[in-house]
Amino acid sequence: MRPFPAGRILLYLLVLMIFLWSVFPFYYGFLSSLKSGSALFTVDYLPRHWEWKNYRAVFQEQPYAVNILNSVWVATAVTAAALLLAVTAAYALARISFRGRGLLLFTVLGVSMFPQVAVLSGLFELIRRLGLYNHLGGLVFSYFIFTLPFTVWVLTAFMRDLPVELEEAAIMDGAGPATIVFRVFLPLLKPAMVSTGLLAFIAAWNEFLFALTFTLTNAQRTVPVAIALISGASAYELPWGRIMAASVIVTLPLILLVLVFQRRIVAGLTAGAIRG
Amino acid sequence: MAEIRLEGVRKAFGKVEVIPGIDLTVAHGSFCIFLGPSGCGKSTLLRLIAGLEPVSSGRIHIGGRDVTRLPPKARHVAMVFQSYALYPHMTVFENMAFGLRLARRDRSEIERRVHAAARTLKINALLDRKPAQLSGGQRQRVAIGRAIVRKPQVFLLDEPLSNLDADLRVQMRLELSHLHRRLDATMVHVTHDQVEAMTLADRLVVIDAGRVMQSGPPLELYHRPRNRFVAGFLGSPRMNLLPGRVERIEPNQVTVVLPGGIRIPIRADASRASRGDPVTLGIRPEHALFEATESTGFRGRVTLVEHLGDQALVYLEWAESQPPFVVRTAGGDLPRVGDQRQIRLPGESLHLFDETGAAFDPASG
Amino acid sequence: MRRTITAWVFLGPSLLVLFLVAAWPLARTVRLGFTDATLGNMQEARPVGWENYLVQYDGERGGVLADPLWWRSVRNTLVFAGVSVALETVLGLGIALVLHTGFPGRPVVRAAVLIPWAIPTIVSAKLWGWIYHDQFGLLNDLLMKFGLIAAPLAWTADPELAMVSVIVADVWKTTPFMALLLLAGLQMLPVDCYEAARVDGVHPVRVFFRVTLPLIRPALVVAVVFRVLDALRVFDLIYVLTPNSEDTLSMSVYARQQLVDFQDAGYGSATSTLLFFVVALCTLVLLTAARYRPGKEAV
Repeated sequence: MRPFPAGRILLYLLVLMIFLWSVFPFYYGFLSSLKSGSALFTVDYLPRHWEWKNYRAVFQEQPYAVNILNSVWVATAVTAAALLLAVTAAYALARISFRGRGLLLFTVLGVSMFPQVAVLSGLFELIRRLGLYNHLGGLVFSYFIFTLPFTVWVLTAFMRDLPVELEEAAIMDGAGPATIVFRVFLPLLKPAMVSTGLLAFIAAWNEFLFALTFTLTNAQRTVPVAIALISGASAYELPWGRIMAASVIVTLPLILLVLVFQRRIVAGLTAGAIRG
Repeated sequence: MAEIRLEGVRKAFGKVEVIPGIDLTVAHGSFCIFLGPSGCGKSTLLRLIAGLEPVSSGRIHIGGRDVTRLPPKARHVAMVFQSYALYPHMTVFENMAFGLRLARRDRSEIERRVHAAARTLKINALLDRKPAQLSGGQRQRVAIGRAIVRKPQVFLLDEPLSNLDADLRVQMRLELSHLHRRLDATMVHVTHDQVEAMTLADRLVVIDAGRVMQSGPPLELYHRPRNRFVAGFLGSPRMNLLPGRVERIEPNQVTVVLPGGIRIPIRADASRASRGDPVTLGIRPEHALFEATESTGFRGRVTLVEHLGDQALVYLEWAESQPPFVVRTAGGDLPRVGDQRQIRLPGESLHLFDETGAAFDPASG
Repeated sequence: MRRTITAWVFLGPSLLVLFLVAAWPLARTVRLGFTDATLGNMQEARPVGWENYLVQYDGERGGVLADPLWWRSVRNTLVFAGVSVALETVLGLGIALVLHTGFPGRPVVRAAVLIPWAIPTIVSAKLWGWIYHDQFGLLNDLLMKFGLIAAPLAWTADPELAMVSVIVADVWKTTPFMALLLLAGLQMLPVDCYEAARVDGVHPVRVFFRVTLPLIRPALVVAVVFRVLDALRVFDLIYVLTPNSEDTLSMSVYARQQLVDFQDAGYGSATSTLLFFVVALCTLVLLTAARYRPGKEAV
């Protein structure tokens, strides 16, 4: 076997440091979420308290469960819709050469560079006019601005790689474009769709600016906004325990998602960037 | 079953004219092979017939119908692709059934047709497998099965055997031949492999740079090539093509001078040529003979002998800066490298081509 | 021909959505920037020309371009973007190199590295907010325990420390993105270069600078460009971590403030438009710079 040089030890040290650096803020957040009242005034590095009061309070003091459901609903709806639109758009952009295609791709990419604030007033007006203010539909609608360009871009890249002869065989079998997209290509794009879908879901879940600006009442809020607005039960209590608890609640499923779909997520990220 | 007729078919991709203009008829029920080097346009021609590409101008008729503007599914043709193009996520059964499903045929009919085709191709044990689990030869059968199931008027095959290894290729050649007879179908097959072409075709169409060089039964093209291209393309090793010049023209005979002053008389109708015109003399390696005595021919020095077991190829240097002359001879008295030999060129096996490559007709009478 | 029609039919819905969600609102925002609209009352807006941008009356200048706070926010944003991305690139490269060298348990570490990226920025802002807390925060506690500081520091309130705090939190959150992109770039490198270098006995550090770095340049450039553009648009982190600080005020936060907090839709829209153009300009500059350099290299 190979000798155990200093290099190896250094490597493991670095790995440990990287691990701690990534994970420590959660660990500490978790610790803090288990403390309440005056226990928050002291700093502990190891778990000394194990109270779940904060967790209960999070659900009691605001409609956190509703907030979570809202987030789930919005993120799922936007992701599903964006994927559907993107897969059809990608077919046109990847497999049919027509005039203006390059320009269109470029424009689609350009939209993903928009600062969200730049469309805020315009969107606000539009959402109000459509009657979607303080309504989850308004969020689903506005979230297309960052989910759609990305999904179109990545799916176009993947669709370009599918063999031409497969498409031609389908044409010979009498398939029209819709059949080709949904019955021949879509099954082959499943991994790409999963990757893109995950990334779109996570982006929609984490979105803050639109969620903050386009909702008014607690019942319509999504998780990020709910956390940002958590205040203590009374003026004397520090809300930090609650905030940490709420954060842990929303982080755990995301950690699970990442652990399970690690490969897919990384594939999606790199595909989007590298083919840029 | 259908006759295919191409009238003035032209195809250009942007500014590049791949097919300048072709008129061709493929009789129904025949096994027609488009043969030519890579890039000659044979695949393009096939795709034009299939309807995968629109023609730039001209008309295509299949079974008496003008299909020029029709999409592939309306033309009643089926295609077997070079890479088979099987749907990876579907089973063999589903692959073969796909076209019929799209045409909304009912379940029992689909099952009947797929099973029948599977039996013909001996793949019924594979119906539940996915393409990734099949070997190359099996995939090819499925591709053919997918075509058969549609009961098309015409089968189009795009280099179906080129992805197979040597023995499988020989076996599939036989099967394709059987299949053709069994289905009584019109088949158009594209290949660059002349052995495949010679053995399978009823009708051979040699194509170069988008033009039909010659078409007809394979043996006719082999023994009476109408131009230098076809002469050099068919036959392996290729025909010896010797550059020369016209020296004397007589009613049914012309004398050609080869490099080194060698004079060869040929019985041919060279009335359209004049003295001094450059020409090409052709003779196949199997027709040239070694002769002990001086006769119509020339001397050469053996530079290489390739022993193939039942026969040998002898390469001779006969004139400066000319490619070696090849003679194919059955066993027996084989020369050795360095030997000098006299080569006889039997008059009846000689071909003569003019400057443009067109063949001179054999002597009349 | 038929294919072209199909293409447009398939693209239609997506284009429509993008028009409604991006093009139209942007146009409206630009338009509103020339009016005196308020958020509660946008229909009765009256055009005011360039007043929101720059106007002079009574010897005083008004409008966004005359607002020192705006220029402060521009400066803050540029500093933030520059420093953040630089740090992320170096750290990301380091992490990528470590991950590239195999070791047991690599998938676990890789997942751990991904997590900061996956969580909402709000959560990360709150976690760091808690760590930075001046009275009960971990950071002050740690530094005082090690004797590095004598009294607790106000990380998020102190003008001189606020930017540092924000940058550290941002680096923590987005380094994973860099690290993973660079890791992908590293994994695509041809192994033979390295084997040749090993055979030739070249020192690993030189191998890094002369072989690795030039070869991952394309991935590096892409990652940096993406990150810079993201950083210029920063909102969430700053809004939540250092809400009322002028020292970390970013262009996006400033614009929203005008729009929502002050209800000044006209002024806020003008600001947003400016922001859009600043980002667009930076995009063009970065893209042309990126396009230029790989061309000049002859690897």
